[in-house]
Order: sequence, then structure tokens, then C-alpha cells
Amino acid sequence: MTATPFPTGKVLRLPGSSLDQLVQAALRAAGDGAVLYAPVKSGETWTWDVVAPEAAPQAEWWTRTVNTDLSPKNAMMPQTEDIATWRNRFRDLEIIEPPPPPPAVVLGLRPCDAASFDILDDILYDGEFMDETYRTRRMRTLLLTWACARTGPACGCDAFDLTPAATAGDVMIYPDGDDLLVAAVTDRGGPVLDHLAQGGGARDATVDEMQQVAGALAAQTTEIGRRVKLDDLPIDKPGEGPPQAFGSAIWDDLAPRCLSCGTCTYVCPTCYCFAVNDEPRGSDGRRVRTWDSCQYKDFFTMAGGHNPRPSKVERVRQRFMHKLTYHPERYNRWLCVGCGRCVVACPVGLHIAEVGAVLAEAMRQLGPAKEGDLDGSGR
Amino acid sequence: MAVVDKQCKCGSGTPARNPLIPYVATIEKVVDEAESGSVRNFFVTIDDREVHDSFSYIPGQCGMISVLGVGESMIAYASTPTRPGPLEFAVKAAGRNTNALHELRAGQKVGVRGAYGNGFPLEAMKGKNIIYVAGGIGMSGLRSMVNYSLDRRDDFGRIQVVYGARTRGELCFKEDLFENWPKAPDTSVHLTVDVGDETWDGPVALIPPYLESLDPSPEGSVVIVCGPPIMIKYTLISLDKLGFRPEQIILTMELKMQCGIGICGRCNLGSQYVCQDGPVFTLAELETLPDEY
Repeated sequence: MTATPFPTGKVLRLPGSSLDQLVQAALRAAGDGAVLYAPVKSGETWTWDVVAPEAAPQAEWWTRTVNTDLSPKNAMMPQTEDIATWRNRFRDLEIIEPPPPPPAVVLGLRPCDAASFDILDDILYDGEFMDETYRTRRMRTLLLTWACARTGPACGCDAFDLTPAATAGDVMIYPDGDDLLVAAVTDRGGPVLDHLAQGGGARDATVDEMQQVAGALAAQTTEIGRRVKLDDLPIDKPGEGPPQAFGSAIWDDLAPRCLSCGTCTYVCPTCYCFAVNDEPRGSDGRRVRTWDSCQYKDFFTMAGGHNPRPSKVERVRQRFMHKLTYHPERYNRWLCVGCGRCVVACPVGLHIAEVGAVLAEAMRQLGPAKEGDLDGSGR
Repeated sequence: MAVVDKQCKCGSGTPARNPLIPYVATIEKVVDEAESGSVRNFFVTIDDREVHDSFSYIPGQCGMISVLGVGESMIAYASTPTRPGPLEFAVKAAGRNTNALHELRAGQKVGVRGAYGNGFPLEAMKGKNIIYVAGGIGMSGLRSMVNYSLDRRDDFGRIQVVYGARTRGELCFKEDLFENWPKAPDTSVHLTVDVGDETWDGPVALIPPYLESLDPSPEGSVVIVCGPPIMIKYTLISLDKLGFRPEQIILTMELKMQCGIGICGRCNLGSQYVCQDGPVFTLAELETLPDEY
């Protein structure tokens, strides 16, 4: 689990006041009919939505704000989305694929959030089957990643092998005083810089000065990152014994606090579980997928009523172990970017990095599995 | 780490198609497979003939069958690829969608997609004696493999089917059990019920002790178990007593599934997704996963 190096291609310096030029360049690069996702305030909540380019926040917003309250995952995976619609359900059934989504630009997502899409790719994109609507959006969406000039009290990217300036998305934006240094990360990010260079507001900058700025931003640490070390977490090797942490007593201690509200999974940029439901209207209707949560009681309930995870102990364990051990066992990276949203949102203060630390400590105390120790948990 | 566009591996050479969108299919006929009427077998043909004819699957794989407006269920194919024709879904009415399915008649339309999952390890099973152990509706998970092994009879050794249900009326695939399979070469069918009645002159016993009384030899054998969790639990104890090693014991798992393609998260079990990495696991493999199913 190592960090991706800084970009080495073309770099431009743009006054922060000319951010609109970058937006226009990106929309042109994204293609005809491209829409812009940007932070928007809904009530008291900062979230992401499609906005008119002139309604996007100014550059100061990114200086002022650590991050949005909700993650930008809705740009790639809307909270509710049609899988298909149908007509005449029993006689002349016709199943109709929805029209493809328009190309899009996501402006100013933080490195942790941009990295979350790389993590989701492992699951939704690189398996035997692909999440086709995710794939389509991913192919048509340009991610403009805005490195963090400061970190917040709930931030913990550095506990999860990332930094406040981790390279992710298609274009990196590094704040440098009142200026922005803009660098292409991917091949698809290149044309954004070409269009920006033509706009006249930007001037050339060197990779050296960019890397100096990026390096200083990346060197910032978080309180959580300084305190929590997850290196001792027991990541199992595929096919070798039952998960070591599964039988740990910590789950019995943590679970009673959980309220099963599911807000942790709702705000999480890497939680991808969804539900499929039919909404009939007479003999027509639509099949929709919506975000769902492993913390809800009936998430795992089967027809006939059997539920393999009937109590909070199993469900809390499932969420933390999925993120901290099961997923790393399979993909060699955390299913968490340390964005801190669940830490802020959880009404009872279940803190993923701290749970990781408690788990690591509990496993350390047990020592290596003993002979005859059935599940390796020491219990 | 640039995202490169790829074609979905789900279709051979066809452009990427959203794997979550079912094909329109027609119910050709509906057969009551148990005397009680609790299990119905839906013979289904995909309306796009080309898709139907190129549809490929192996025993142990599952398909999604939809009643549009109600939902979708993951069901193991009861048909075998060795007998081209309609796909068969033998379904017990257990939840919302399966109850709705039971209301449907020949000629009506459903949605179908698949095939999902790994299926049985056909290569590894070659040359082995096979002992099928099923409980209740669990037989529908094995029927494809039983018929496959009978159609490729020379590929396998002795075949034993050990099957139990609550009552005679709940025994599923009655034509196979009483007519077809007992006639097959070097094949024996052993049936038991939990509760006997005047129509039943066979053994009345639960599967685990009945299996032990049959004393099947682990030598050169594999055993495939499918049934309700409680039956599996005690059958595994009996198999251990009989000397079967975990590598010889094959189970087909069931967890809640909604997508079938490893992305909706429901069937996550440790590092595995049962719908894709399973549903077939050896006991040795299952022992490396959380005991949470």
C-alpha cells in the first residue's frame, strides 16, 4: 500500500481568481453536453450536485473549507438510479435501458475523495463483471482534485496511506498562495491543460516548483495519523486460516454503542453497497438501485427469514472488518481513505481509525495464534 | 492508474451490456416437482433466440429470475447444459418474488440474467465417486449436477443420491427420484423423510444418521451437500465421523444476493463474494472464511 508519485507532465500556474477558466477548459475537454459537479450547500449541509459553471464556488471556498459533509460518490454512483424501465410486464414485456449519463467534470474533490474512486474501481470496474453505469460515468467524468492547504480535526488520510496532496483523479490542483498550480495526472487530464493554456489566463510553470508546493502540502500530518498506526492490523493472507480478528472480544464491547442508523455508510466515499427495488405503475415500471447499508438489520435477511448477521455485533464487525481486513486481504488496500466523515457523523463516536488501533492492540496482546487454537483468535 | 475503457467479459465479443439488465424470457411450461405443490419448476426460454442458444453455464451456477414489478431471485439452474433447451428454475415459494413467480403460468414473461458464480469443480471431480446429499429444496441446487454426471456417466465413478425431506410430499423432482435416476447405471438413490405416513414405506430418519447408516466410503469420493443450515451443520459432523476430509466435501452456499455480479455487497463473506467467488466452496475453503452464513 504505497502512495502514487506526484505528476511529472505539463504544469500551469493560474490565478485563483481565474478558476472559471479551468472549469471551462475541463468542460470542453469532457465533451459536448458536459455537466459540472461542484460543492453546493443544501440547508446546512455541503454536498455535491450538478451546477451551472457560474454557480460553482470561488477558489476561496477551498481555502476556507476542509471538505464537504457528503462525499462526491453521487457523481459516479447516484443515490438513486434507474437500472431499467419496463412496459407490459407479463404479455409483451419490453425491458428498456436508460439513456447514458452525460459527460461530467467534478470540480475540486479532495485527494481522499478522488482516491476513493480508485478503490471503487477494484470492485466495480476490474472484476469479471462490470458495473456498467459506474463504468460509463467513470469513462466520461474528469476528476479535478484539489490538494488540501490544511487538514481538519477529523481528517486521517495519513493513517490510511494517503496524504493531503495524494495524486488521484485526472488533474491535480495545488494551492500556492493566491495561485493554483494545475497538473495533468492521466492522459484524459492532458487536454484540460491544453484548453487551459489556450485560455490565456494561465502561464507555464515547472514541474520542480509544482513538486515543491505539492511536497509541502503532502508533508502535512493529521492528529489521527500521528496517533494511530494501523501497521499491526492483522491482514489475513488469502486462503490462510479464518480471519484472525473475527473472534476478537472487541466487537462485543463496541457493538452496544452503535445505533444502527447507517449514517457512517451514507457519508462514506468508499461504501458502495446498494439495493435493487422495483417500482411498478400498472403493468409498467422501473427497477432502481439505491444506496443501502450493511448496518441495517434486514440488509442480509434472506427469503424465508434467515439472517446470518442478526445482531449489532455481527453488523458492526462486518463494517469494520470489511474496511480494515477483508478488503485489504483481497485488494491490498484499505477500504477507507480517512476522510473523517463517519467520525463526524457518528452519533456515538465509533471512530474507524481508533477501532483499527484498538483491534491492532487487541491482536498484539493475543500474540500469534497458539497450537490448537481453533479460530486463531485466542478465545 | 489511468482508467482505460474495457469491454465487459460478460458477453462474448458483444458490446458492453449492462449485466444488471435482464433478458426478456418466456415461461414455456411450469411443472410441479413435489407432490405437495410447494416446488414449481419454470422452464424458461430467452426471447432473443441467438442469446438463448449461446447461453452457457455449468452445473452449480445460478441465474437471476425476475418478476418485473416485484423483484429478482438468485436461483441455481435446475437444468443441465448437457440437455439444451429451456433453462429450468425450480423454485419454492419463500419470499415476495418467489411467491409472485408461483402465480405465473406458461406463456407469461419474466426477466432472466446470468450465469453467475463458479459452479461445481467439474475437472477436479472427474473419475471420482460422487455422493450427493440434499435436504428439502436443496435438491434443486444439485439436480443440474446429478443430471450432468449421469449424461457424462463415463467421467465419474459410482453415483449415490442421498436425499431427505420433511415428508414424502416435499421430495422434489419426483420423476427423477422414482423413475429416471434409479435406472441409471451404477447409480443408487436413497430417500428418507422426517415424518412418515401411509404412502411412505421407506426409511423415516433425519439425513445425518441416515447417511451414517449408508456408510459411504470416502475412498476416491467427493460428497456434495446442499440443504438448510441446520441439516448442513449435522451432516458435516456425520461426514467427519465417516472419514471424509474437508477437501472432499463440496458445499453450495446461499447468502442474500441482489446483483449476482459481486458489487451490491450483500453476499460479502470475508474476502469473498459468494455470488461470484462461490457459491460452490469446499469445506476446506469455507474453513478459511468467517463462520457467518
